[in-house]
Amino acid sequence: MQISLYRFDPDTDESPRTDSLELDLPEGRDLMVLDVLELLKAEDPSIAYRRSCREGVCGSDGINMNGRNGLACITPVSEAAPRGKLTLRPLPGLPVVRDLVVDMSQFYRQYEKIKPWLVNDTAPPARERLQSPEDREKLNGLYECILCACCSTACPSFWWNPDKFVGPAGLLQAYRFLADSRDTATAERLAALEDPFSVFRCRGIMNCVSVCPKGLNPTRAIGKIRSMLLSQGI
Amino acid sequence: MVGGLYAIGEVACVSVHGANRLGGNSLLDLVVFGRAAGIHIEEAMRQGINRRGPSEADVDRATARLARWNGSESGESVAELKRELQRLMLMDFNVFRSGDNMRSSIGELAGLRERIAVAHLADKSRVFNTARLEALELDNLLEVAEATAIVAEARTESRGAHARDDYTERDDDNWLCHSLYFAPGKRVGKRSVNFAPQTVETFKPTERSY
Amino acid sequence: MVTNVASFGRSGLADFVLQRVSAVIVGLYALCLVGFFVTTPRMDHAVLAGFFESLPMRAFTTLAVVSLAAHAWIGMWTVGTDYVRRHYFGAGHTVYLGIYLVVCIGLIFVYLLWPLSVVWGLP
Repeated sequence: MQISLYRFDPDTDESPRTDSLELDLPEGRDLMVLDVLELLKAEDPSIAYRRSCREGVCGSDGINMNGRNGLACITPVSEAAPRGKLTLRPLPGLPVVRDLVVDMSQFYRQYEKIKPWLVNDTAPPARERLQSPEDREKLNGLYECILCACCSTACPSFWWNPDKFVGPAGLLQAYRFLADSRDTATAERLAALEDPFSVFRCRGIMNCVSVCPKGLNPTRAIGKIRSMLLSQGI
Repeated sequence: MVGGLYAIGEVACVSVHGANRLGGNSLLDLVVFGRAAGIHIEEAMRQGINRRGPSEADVDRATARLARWNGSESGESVAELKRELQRLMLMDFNVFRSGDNMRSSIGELAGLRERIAVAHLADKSRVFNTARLEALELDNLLEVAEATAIVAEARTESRGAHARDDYTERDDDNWLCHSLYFAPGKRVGKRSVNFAPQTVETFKPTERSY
Repeated sequence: MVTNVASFGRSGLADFVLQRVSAVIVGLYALCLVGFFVTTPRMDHAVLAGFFESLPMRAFTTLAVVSLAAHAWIGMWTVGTDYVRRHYFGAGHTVYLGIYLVVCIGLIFVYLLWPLSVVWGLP
């Protein structure tokens, strides 16, 4: 298998480069891209990438494989590189720390901006704040986000204004709290999102939906935020 | 006692789980004892924790370990040694164990320790160096592997996920206890199980049959 | 959360709604024109001028041109703030953005006033 790997070590390199590597893959098995990375790293320990759970739940190994963002640990090689050449690059748009590792700070900053915690200052009940099954249903497709950044780093609007546009991941979580029946800060949350940049840079490009490894739909959530803003504003 | 150091989970040996490491064990431990630890920590921080600082020897030992890796110019690769360690543990310290195999593997582990001591860290970069992390983790993996191996060999019975073909029965008289391992001296100790539940009568251990 | 002085409306919501409403208005105007051209077999200057001189048509044209101006301003501002950034233009990018916006405003002004002067018969 031919592999094209983005390399950059700020300690030693002036600028990034692309290494062309050859790897013999074991017969009869369809490896995941992460397995390929591990095999490459056994030969060259200086290849840097993040990884942890190897089962698609931690979100550490988001990388760009043949032009598409995804999690390396749950993307089979046959799916990422159907024509036999695998190109591995870091997630686009975020500063590169080293090789396939990017600086996630801007992504986290946008996430924190939308106050990703339950706001309810009423007196806490003895055990739990109750929620009907119907209201709990509304959180499905929202709470499962693992903050892997595949969506936001696939979004052109986020590329152009990562400090102003919250991005699909942040907005999905913003809607997760707007939709939560136990949250009492709905008006404040919407007021904070009303400006021309935070939500309204979304043009329905839908790269986010296309790449989300958990099958979530940020575009739909952003549409629902817009509806809430509209019904509140008109 | 090290003030301010808390442990929860299987390592804490609070006797809520038996000898089987079932899925979901960790969830119970986290939820119950994580909360208990949190409450205790809040109280302890209010009263002030008597923290013992590191000694010069501790700091020297830590920096020596880092210097050993950073200064390595040649030797076997970390990935290769890790693979050998994994193979060893997989073959002889899986669920089904036998005394002879365990004893010979413990000898091989000692050999691995010497080889790891002179292994080579190829990547000396100071930016997000995962190779250095994996080298340090290899040291740690060896410690855990040796602890697992020596205690497994010492426990002369079969219990739950520790199934020996040379000691097939459970030995409640000698081994109804938690194993403790002391790395200096590679000593195995025992700690009794907590048989004092608060609100229910204790169940008497009986033979496991279906 | 992000305060801005150059956008059209007071809020992102206002711009969002305005862009869509103005699009509908301009769309309807375009349909009206197409309908007129399709349903008028014999066209000469008198017929054309007569169509646009009627008061309803003048009002509709005024509305359409103003809507187009608003729509264009929102659109040009959005595209400008997407691409005229520090990444491409360096530390002085806000200056370039300002120049770009002033040029856009100028053009939109012309595109607004010229049809209006024609429709309302101004010299």
